[in-house]
Amino acid sequence: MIEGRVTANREAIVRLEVLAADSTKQTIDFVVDTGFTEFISLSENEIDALGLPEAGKSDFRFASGEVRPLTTYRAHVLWDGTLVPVIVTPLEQNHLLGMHLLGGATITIEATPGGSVAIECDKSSRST
Amino acid sequence: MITDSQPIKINGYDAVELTSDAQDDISAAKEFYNWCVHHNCSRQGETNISRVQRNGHETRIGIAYPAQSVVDQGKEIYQRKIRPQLGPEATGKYLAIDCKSEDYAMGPNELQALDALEKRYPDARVYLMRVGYAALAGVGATVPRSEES
Repeated sequence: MIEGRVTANREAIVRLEVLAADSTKQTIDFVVDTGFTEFISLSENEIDALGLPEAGKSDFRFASGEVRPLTTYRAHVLWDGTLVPVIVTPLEQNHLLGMHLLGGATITIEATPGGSVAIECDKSSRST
Repeated sequence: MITDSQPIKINGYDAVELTSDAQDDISAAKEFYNWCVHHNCSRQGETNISRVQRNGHETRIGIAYPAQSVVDQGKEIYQRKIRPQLGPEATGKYLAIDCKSEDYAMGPNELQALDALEKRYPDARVYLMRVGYAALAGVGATVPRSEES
């Protein structure tokens, strides 16, 4: 199980290790975001620092309704003790943990500042 | 200095002739990266270094493609070549399209599609999409079905 907390700004946060192909790693706090349908997001500076390889170009739809092309990257995340491959979306805002990585998990959030966050992972169904 | 070199146009894209030794891949890549930074080439685009014969000797040209060009290419390939081959069961699946070979791989998510494509084309120029949807993914937004579906 992955555990986190709710911040004073009412964001549900969990801490994950993100690894590049050469095992360079960073420990980063991610906001659990059910409105983000991908894996994780990082800033371009962090993507550069980790030296992440490119995955491809894709269209993304934003809350404003705008559809914009972005370059995505490959990385690995230590997810409940297992190293799993992820696609990284470059976003200059909070680090987001999205629904694709959460696939199959059960999320429990005590939605009050200081409250607990628990993600129970279902490793058998996560990949789809 | 290379960073002072003005862009030339290759197929409409910003490009520069590199001065590094044509056998030194790492120096050429660093030189082109510095040039891109100096000329504010989009970090969201793609860079490519090609060996060409110029004035009787081998040299290298660095080309900076904006991200949009790969996306546009991928969409065009999908509409022209891939979509006519797909049945309704493909809706919701993910495609990784190589804009160089115009080949593709399909998977239940973009990682599996990408892995399958890159096994066949390790230097693929990849466009990722979801069949029947207006975008690959949403950021604080739902992704509606596209008009084709």
